Amino acid sequence: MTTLNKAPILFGMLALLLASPSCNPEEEDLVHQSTLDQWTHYNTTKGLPSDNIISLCEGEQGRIWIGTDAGLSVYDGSTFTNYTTADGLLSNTIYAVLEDKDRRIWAGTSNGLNLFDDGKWLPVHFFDGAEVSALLELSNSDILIGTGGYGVYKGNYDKNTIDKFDVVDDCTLCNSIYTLYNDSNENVWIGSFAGARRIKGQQSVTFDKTNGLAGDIVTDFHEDSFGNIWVGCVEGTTASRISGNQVEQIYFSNGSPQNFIGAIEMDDGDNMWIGTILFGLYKYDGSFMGRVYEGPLGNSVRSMLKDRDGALWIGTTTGLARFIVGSKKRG
Amino acid sequence: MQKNITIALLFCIGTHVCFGQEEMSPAEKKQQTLVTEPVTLYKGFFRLQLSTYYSLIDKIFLDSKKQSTEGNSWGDNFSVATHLQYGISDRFMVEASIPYIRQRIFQSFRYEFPLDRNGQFSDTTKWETRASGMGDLELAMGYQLIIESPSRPAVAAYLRVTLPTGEKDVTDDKDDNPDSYNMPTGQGEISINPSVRLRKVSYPFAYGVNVGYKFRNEVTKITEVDKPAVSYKNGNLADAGAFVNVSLNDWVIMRNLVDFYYKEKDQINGSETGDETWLLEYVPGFSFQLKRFRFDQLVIIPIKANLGSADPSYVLLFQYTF
Amino acid sequence: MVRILILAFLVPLASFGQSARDSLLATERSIDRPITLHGGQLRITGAYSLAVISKQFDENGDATNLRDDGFASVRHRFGLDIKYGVNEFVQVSTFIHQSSQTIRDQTRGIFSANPEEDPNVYQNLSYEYKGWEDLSVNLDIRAPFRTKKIDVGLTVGISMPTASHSPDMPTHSIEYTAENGSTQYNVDYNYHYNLGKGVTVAQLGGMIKYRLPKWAFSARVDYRHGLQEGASYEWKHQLVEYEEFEYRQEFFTYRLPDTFEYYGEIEYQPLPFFDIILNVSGYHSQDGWKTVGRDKVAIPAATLVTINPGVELIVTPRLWFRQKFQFPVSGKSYEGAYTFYTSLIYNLFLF
Repeated sequence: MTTLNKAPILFGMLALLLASPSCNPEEEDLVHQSTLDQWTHYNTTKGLPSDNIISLCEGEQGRIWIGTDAGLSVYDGSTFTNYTTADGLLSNTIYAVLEDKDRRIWAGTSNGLNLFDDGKWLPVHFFDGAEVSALLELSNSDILIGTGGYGVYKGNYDKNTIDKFDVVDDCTLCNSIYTLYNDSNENVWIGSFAGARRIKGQQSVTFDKTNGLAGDIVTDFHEDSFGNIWVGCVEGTTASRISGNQVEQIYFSNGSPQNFIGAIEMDDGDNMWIGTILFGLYKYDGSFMGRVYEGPLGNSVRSMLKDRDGALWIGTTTGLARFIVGSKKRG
Repeated sequence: MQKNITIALLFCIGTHVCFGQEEMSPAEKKQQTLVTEPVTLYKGFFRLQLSTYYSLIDKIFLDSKKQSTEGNSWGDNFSVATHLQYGISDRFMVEASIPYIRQRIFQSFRYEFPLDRNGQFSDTTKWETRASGMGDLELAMGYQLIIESPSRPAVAAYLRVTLPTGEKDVTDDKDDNPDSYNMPTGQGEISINPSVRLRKVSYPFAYGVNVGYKFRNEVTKITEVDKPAVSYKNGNLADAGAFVNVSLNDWVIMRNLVDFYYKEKDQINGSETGDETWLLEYVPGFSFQLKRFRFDQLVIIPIKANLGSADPSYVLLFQYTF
Repeated sequence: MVRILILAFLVPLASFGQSARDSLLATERSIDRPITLHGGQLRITGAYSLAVISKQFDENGDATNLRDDGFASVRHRFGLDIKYGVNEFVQVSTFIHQSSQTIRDQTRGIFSANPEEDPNVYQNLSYEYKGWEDLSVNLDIRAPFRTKKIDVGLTVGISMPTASHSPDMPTHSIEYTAENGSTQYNVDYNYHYNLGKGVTVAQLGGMIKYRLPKWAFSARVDYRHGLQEGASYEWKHQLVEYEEFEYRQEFFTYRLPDTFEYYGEIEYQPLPFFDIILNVSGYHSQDGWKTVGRDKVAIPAATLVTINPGVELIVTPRLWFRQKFQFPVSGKSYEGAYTFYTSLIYNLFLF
């Protein structure tokens, strides 16, 4: 019996399916107003390992990786799949998670760095015992690894190399990394316990309280649509906005003596979302901060993510919320 | 003698031809249009007129520029006035008119107060500021100083006196909302407004000018709710205008008027307040004459001003001559 | 002012230069007129409409009273329409409009927990829609029936993107005040939009008119479709140092909704120069979208039904005067505007 080449048959079937008169791709692509401005909530009752959401990352086909204090979870749109030390994670406290271009999953834990490979969580021994608090993939596929007290390292999987990227001599606070960020000008931003550093090539510029930053402990960065870099800090009452080398303060007007900023994100409407640890979620509309009372689960926002559909994921200490952003205007 | 009679007859005929019309019956006079009627009512004629006026509150002149009013506010002005005119003689007429006024301004405001970390108090309040009721009575007389002829225009002098029959004070409307109150329907003042009008007919056109000045007295009135009364004087008002009316046919006339107003500063307790204001407006419209009944539609269009309303006003006039 | 003068200019022309063919214009009643102009006839129409938008229909068809909230607005619209009868059965026309409207949104007071140091914020928001609309050109063809009882016609037309369609830069402003121990920012957000569609729009329509001795019944339907996707931008702002605004453009693409407009009309002619009209009109739009970020967001389908009584006067053989009032009856996702139309129509035969 002649073996059939099945590829043309499968292709033909696929073509027939796509050409079906019941399929209107353009109409199915449209988002309808009724689906906008909707909140969806997730917590342990829905399958999360913990309500304390520490880190978020979007992976292949829109999967959401969720780091908690009781393990790592991945959400595929309908179910949560959870991983703990029993699955090979070095710790259940997941400070950072990253899916790189080659779909490898990296998990920064309180006890080292894990790589998910071939269905197993493998340790990256170089970082054994160290707190890995931040992960960032650069455009050249290098992975930046921020540690708690040892600075920032650069790893390349294909080349099997790990090198120092930014390690400051005799400064433990400088080497205690909270967050890493890459802006549209290919600057690398490092958030540490001793301010923010902007690095491009050999050039490094430091921002801290002495030159206008709201605080020295930097928790998050995000670039806005005007090219400014928003900086969240633990201390201070404001968010900082850096334009070039100028630092400007954006006020919360909530009367708090300290606004500990946990996360910053930007939606598709170019509004900035700033999550605080004590006073909940704020939205900046280009002029002023406005508190978002209804929607997030709790007042303690630790992480945020905008997915490929433009929806915002807000991680708090009391659960995870997803918000489909819409903009209603009368005119 | 025969030659003189012939000359006299020719003169009479010629004069009749130059004036172009025979003597009209009273019924015909009552059907004259805005272009052909004299500037004062004929003796014994009685005229009833209803005028309605409507405008919206949408744009204002500020620093001579037209701009939208700020904030959530929407309003309209409506009034309907009854005018009674009587011709005491062919040159002298009197008039009385009184309006019913309704003005409404709708506003809303949203408050957001932070309460604590877990919530805020937010509320939207709405309120209406309204004036509703009879306005000030106006009495007028007009005298035709010069009767129109083919060689000269008609010149008429008018004197209008306004009496404070409308509510002059701002009053509390007993609403819970402190921003909601009733506005006055009258000025509370006695004003005297002499004016002069020239009118010339060159059929189908009628054109002319008018000038006037309004003297206004000081009056004690409440201008803010729950505040004591103040001594208030509206600024005196000067106006000048020119008009051209065109008969399109025997019963439809197109009206055109350009008016300029200048108002002096108001005074509160003897001290000047606010700014002088000026306004240039254009008033086009149509007048339809159906027997003794006349129906006019006009639009008052503010062209330029330094301060004040920039919205057009729409006027309907219904008139019947008895 | 120019627009008023255009309307005023038409009037004096009406009284001069009467010709024998004026008798046709004078004696032909409104209900007897064919649906296209006579050969060689030129008609210029100047129109003004005042629309008071005091009602808004939501997506469920429920009407919201905008007036009580202070959200009502007014729109002034001027139009110029020129038609020419190529022959007894073919007519070409072109028309353009100019419009202005300002919509005010909710005024808000956002109060700070500590106004001595963190100012309260009072904000006003307005959207201005002003300017010329696109120029349209139509060709109307009337079926060459011998009977005068019925007329059937077809319209093909095109609207060209001659007017600006992208918005002008906003003119936001901010003012800081401090009194009685409290500080405050007064912010005015002012957006300015133009009225062009930005794309070429094709039109296809049809009309039928049936006459009785003193009555006429008409019906018309028009379909409009944008021939391509459009591109435009929105203005985004940022407040710098709480003193001044900076702006940038955010680009997006869109597809105009397809629209169907239709009406049924009854005319009664009690006098040769006076015609009474009762018109019921409908509007429906669908299938439009606009990109927001990575998404194509559908523009909600909209409908509107209105009742429009009106009158027409033949003032002179060449000059006609028409007025109409529009009452919104029902709708979905659309404004409900009470509109008053006044038109001056000037006719003459060129040859």
